[in-house]
Amino acid sequence: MTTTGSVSTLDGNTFVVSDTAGDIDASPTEPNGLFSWDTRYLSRWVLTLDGHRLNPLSTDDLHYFETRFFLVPGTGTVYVDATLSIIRRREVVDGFREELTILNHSATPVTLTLRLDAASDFADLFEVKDHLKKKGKYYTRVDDNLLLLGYERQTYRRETLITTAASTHVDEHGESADAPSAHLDEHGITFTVHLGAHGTWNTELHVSCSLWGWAANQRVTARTESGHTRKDMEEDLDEWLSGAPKLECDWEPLKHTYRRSLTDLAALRFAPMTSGERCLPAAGLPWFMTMFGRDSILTSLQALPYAPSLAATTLAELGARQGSRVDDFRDEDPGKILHEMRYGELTAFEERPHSPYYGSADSTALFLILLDEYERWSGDTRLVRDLEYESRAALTWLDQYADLRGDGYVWYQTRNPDTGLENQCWKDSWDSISYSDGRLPGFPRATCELQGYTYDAKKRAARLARTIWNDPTLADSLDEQAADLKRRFNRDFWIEDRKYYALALDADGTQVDALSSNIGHLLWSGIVERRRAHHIVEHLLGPRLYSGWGIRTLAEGEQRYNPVGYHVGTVWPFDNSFIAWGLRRYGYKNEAARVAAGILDAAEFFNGRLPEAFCGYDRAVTKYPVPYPTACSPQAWSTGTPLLLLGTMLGLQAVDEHLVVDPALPVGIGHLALLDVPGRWGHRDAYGRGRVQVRADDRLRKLRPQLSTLQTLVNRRET
Amino acid sequence: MNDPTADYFHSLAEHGRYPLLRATSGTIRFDLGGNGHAEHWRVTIDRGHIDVSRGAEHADCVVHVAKTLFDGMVTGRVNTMAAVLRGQIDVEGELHLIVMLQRLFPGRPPLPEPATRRHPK
Repeated sequence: MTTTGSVSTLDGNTFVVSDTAGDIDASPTEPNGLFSWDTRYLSRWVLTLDGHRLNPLSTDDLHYFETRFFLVPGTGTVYVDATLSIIRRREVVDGFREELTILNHSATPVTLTLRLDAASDFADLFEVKDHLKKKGKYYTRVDDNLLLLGYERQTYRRETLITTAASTHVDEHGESADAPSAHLDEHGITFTVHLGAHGTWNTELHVSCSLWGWAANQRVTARTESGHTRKDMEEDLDEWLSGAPKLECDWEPLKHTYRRSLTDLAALRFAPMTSGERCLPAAGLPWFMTMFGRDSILTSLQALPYAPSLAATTLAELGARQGSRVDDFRDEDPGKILHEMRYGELTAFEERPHSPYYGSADSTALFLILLDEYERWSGDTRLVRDLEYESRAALTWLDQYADLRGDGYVWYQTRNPDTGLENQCWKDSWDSISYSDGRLPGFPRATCELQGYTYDAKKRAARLARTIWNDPTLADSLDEQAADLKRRFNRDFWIEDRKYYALALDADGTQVDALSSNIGHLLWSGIVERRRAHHIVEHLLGPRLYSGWGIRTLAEGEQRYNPVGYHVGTVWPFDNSFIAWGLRRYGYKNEAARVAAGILDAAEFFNGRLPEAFCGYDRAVTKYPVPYPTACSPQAWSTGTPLLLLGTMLGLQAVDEHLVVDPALPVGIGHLALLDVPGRWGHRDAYGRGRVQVRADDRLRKLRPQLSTLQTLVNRRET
Repeated sequence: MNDPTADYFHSLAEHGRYPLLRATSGTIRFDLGGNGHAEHWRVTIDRGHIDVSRGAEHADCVVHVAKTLFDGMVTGRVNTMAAVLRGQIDVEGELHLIVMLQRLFPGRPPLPEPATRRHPK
């Protein structure tokens, strides 16, 4: 985190991105600032002492919602010690609170001018991302102890309220006294600080964000009577961590990664405006701190054995926002599960379709998959009954609205060419779907994994229809449709001379023939014919797709392959986690363990926090996973990746009333155990033993010892 | 006189049952302003069953909105959620009730085909 020069402190969809001194000085390209509901509420928040910026000594992120910055004035030379320290403690709780403390280490009293510059551009995140100009007017208001920054465009109003509290001075004998109060102007806050010998000065500021203008409408935003407090958040985090299974393992970094994942997942929980207290995972910092159908579903799947409540909320909330009408601007159809919800200015003025936007062709099938998998783990038949109507609507969408060519496949083509998404699958960048020779197919497109998800969704819905909805006719019909889809898919997508499935079919039904990681998702779905599985596995772990760290999104040798291309050559941890699940589904235990090991090794290099994506360079060449430049971190489905990989290594499966454990550990892990895995069985432990004896000295070095390349590198890092 | 709002409420009441709202219960009052007076509509949702009446009695969710804007909402020209974010709709009480009800409002009407938008010669 500090290695990238920025520090993020967050609570749901409110977050602060600052430099390592705690300053916010937003540039057009950097998403620095205080953000809430997709809007930047502070673009400038710079602390100076006697007119000079401060130097960070260290940064300490105590919790995800709290950071401490230890600062000193620059003395200009290493030979002069600073005689002052400044501690800046910031916690993000309904906006943020910042506590400033100055310590005088010398016997000489000093008088200082402490200044905080404050400004806001009220940029919509989309504007930051795409460098757009604002259309409204700014205003400010200054009172005794408050500075209000405002922005107005017609009836749209967003305000930042900065309030100061009393300042206190504590002298060297521990006597405290009130200090002069702050002076506020339109551009910030000035404190005159008289600091006695060995004295301490302290003050606090509070920054709040308002969605409709301060006076106007707190009734709606503050539905949770009083906003939550720091104590609540600490207790909540403790409860969250203690509710998750305990990990025991002889590979130390894995424990660290596990704890980091659980904590980041807690940080990314977010309550959509109308859900009250219920939380689901937001997609990722900084660009995607909002509800995404696909991301929330896949993350909930990854986290099922650890935090099943995420799945329940995700299902309920996405069900309550399921498409109900035809709206071309939003790519909405009845029964479709949403893609993305946004709350910023461009969405408010319908310059973007995100209120919510429905441009994803996979979230609807994934919704059904999550519902079934959730019930298998939790035994919560009530939610499955509650969502029967939504499930049937989802099935209708798959059959009627998604089949744009009327040939029994799921297709996509946006009906909003200006601001809709071209590619409505998880690889949603413009160039992600290509032929081997680099050409891009026309629309509509039917990517292969969409057919896989649909197959799986129908099989799973059939089970729910049979066991919970009491509709055996529907169940039989779904099973038949699934079998038919599998038969046709294996005929139409299989490229016989290359022994893999086409990435997609184009508008003419021609195969889009690039080799991609999408074929791994087909294993997860079960749509691959058993006799063909070994071909798929060979491709996935062959040199064109497998980098040594993970499976690339697009194979080396394809015309558009680029190891630093977002969806055309990078390695996505979440992609690999679902592929590992797929390998297990087809019995390829060792291969699944290999994929898990590569990604978990990479996690160690990112200090336990896997980014959204990293570069596709060969492991033997770079020795360490190279970060993708603008990757989001933490990102929900990357955060969920170690959780799912632990599950695939232990072979966890919910079968009837039992937790089935069938471990296959990668080389170098001696033992692995998850204690108290929650589910319909109550709590059960899952144990796995490795085939390789781990030497004690390797354990001390905290390595998976058999991996010599890693060992060499870590030796290098340690010297 | 053409009144999309009245037409909408009448057809809403006529239909009666809405499975989309079968998990929703509560009353919404619409205070529709404009031309110096306000008209009040009350929508009672009882697990998917909808009754519509006139009157200014208490409701779980009160929605203040200009009549002309509301005409747009019930004909799909105005997206309710976007209008809330814009500050054109003032909601008191349980926001989720209007969020659920607006799912029954129509989507944005499709753009006319380019040919029909061309100026006649």
